[in-house]
Amino acid sequence: MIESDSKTACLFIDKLVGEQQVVVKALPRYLKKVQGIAGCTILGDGGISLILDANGILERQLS
Amino acid sequence: MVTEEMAEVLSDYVETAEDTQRGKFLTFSIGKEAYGFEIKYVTEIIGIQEITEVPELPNYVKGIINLRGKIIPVMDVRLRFKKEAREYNDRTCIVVIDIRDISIGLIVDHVAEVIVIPPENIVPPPTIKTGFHNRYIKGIGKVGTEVKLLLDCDKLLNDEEVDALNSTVE
Repeated sequence: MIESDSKTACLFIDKLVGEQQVVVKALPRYLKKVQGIAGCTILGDGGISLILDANGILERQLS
Repeated sequence: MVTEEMAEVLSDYVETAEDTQRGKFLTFSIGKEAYGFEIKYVTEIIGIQEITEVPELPNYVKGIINLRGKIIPVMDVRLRFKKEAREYNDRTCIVVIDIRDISIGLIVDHVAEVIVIPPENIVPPPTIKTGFHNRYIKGIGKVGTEVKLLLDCDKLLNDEEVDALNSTVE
């Protein structure tokens, strides 16, 4: 369940992996801005995880 | 402050670096055709690695990879040229190029070699727009009996997109 400025919504996901503190990196400039994605981060094992932006994802749904 | 003398030395250095790279092309193949691009754009060649997909991208942009802590997008050149997708194998390579301060990985079937093509052996592409990927081709290099299609890296990344991005980044 996520909550943005004024709205609340539930997200259906396949699987929860865990929770951790990460440093958000920007997506490469070449990729156009994807609404709902705030950036990405490099995990401890070298993998990449995308970071969702709660506000963006809700706005997109409503627009 | 860079003095005039230093600037001169610097420009000399840049010139030599350019000289040694001039006329050299990295060749690779996609399907049966041999392609090449100028070596000055290439920063490195790596094997295929785990790609993280990013939603809402054109199908030829496969996603992003972690290149020693730097996140770069990867583009499948095969799909860029509207060819059929092929499964990646151990010959598949990612050629990392640096163009206009943008790093991007290009997925190609396999990398062949670096060759020198003298300017007199490079002819402009046919003017008749017969194929869809004509616009990406800067010239056609003749090497012995073979021909190599020399790609225009700039166009490959799509001018409009790059310009649009540059204008939004302050």
